[in-house]
Amino acid sequence: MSRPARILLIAVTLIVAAVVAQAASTGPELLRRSQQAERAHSYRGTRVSRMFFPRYSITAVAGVVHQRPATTRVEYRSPSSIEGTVVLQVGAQRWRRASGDRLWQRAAAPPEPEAFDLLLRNYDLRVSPGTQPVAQRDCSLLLIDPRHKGNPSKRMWIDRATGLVLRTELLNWKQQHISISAFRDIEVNPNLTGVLPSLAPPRQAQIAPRRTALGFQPIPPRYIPPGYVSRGTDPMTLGKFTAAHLRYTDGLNTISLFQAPGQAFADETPFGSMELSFTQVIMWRRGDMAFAIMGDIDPAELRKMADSIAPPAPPRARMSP
Amino acid sequence: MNCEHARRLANQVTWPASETAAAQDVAEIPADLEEHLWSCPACRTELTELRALRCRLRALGNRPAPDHLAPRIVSAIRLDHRRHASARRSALHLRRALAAAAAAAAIAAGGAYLVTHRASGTGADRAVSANVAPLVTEYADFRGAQPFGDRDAAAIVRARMKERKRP
Repeated sequence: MSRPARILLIAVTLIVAAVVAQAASTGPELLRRSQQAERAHSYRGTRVSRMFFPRYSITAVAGVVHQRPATTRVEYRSPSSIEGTVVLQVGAQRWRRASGDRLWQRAAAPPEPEAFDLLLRNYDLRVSPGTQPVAQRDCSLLLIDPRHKGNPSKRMWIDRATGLVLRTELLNWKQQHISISAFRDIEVNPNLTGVLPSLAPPRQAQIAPRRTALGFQPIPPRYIPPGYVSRGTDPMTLGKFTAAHLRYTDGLNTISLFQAPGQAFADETPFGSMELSFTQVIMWRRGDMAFAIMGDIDPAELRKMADSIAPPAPPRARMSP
Repeated sequence: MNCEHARRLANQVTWPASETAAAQDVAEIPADLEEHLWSCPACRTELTELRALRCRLRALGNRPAPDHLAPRIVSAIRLDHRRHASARRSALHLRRALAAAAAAAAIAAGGAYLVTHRASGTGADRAVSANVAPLVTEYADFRGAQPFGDRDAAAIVRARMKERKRP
């Protein structure tokens, strides 16, 4: 090969390498890598989470064990209100068991990983330059910000060696911190032989029965904020009644719409709107039904969604023959 | 089983008559109570709060009670005896009086936490525990915004309501 040809080949190689490196460091690639990392690596560690409220915060410490590809067990050591509570996730299924309980209870299914494309449509993903240490490991910082105003943001610290997410910060729609969750220590690909029995999904006999018959037809909203899609309806027990939980997501954020017979709510229930730092809440009664809508989104959007829930039209009066 | 019966049983489970059961924390939950608890978040919350109260009282250890507390307990017990002839009812009320006295001691010892997480309260407090807290927890669960349980959710909502009432 002639000298000019060699120089050209080296130059092309360098350009291709630079393009590949650039692509690997883009936000979407980094996020996709972090999602695949859970499937590729097992780990065990201690995670500290803190939720912020106007005048105080709640700090929780949990032991986390993850077995690849999709089994995660989180056992809370504090605060005292949930000490001993275990949350077990196997694939898309989640169960929770409070300390002292013998039976597991099914927990709400988290937004599916397939929401990745939805997230890319609704959020801008950028990688902050440089590295930052978390649990004594070098991490890249991924910034996720909404394309539609009035939605929350997220910050993720992703381990450069494995792609695992070691720290997460959530900011509400007003860009105020609502939670920080970070590993204090983590051991990647440890020997999990000793804890395998605790990672087995509960048998049917160990799961509390959950009401499934709604007894009414849930009313879907006519308006859904831009970027959100329905994720289905789940029944949930509310006292002696079964409520409907209509779920909506934009890939990162979620909106929950609850509907239940009016008798399920005591007269003293604080109907109206409320701000809880990590979510806006609107509760109201109409006819013989009660409604609650929750979401970390501009309250004007939530109100618009609530207003679009109209009860079904009354049956037409029969014409006399 | 109705809520009143369930709460009576929940009290017995939380403050078992047997010292051994109390010490070892092995009081069994009767099957009918357990069945009721699955369908009644209000009673479930109350049992959880009672258990948390017991844990906190244990954590306080054997601190000397204020001087004025003993005569008040004795007079409360005497009043209960006069009002309720039935021995079984007296025992139940004695336990309740002791539980109330213990709660008073805990508050006297600086348990401000108990004030915001009290088991009983106004109708609005109970409505928050029974109606609002489970929905907030379910929402947080779906969003993946744990960690907290129904009791924390109820405390968060109550704190917010109090803030709104302030001028």
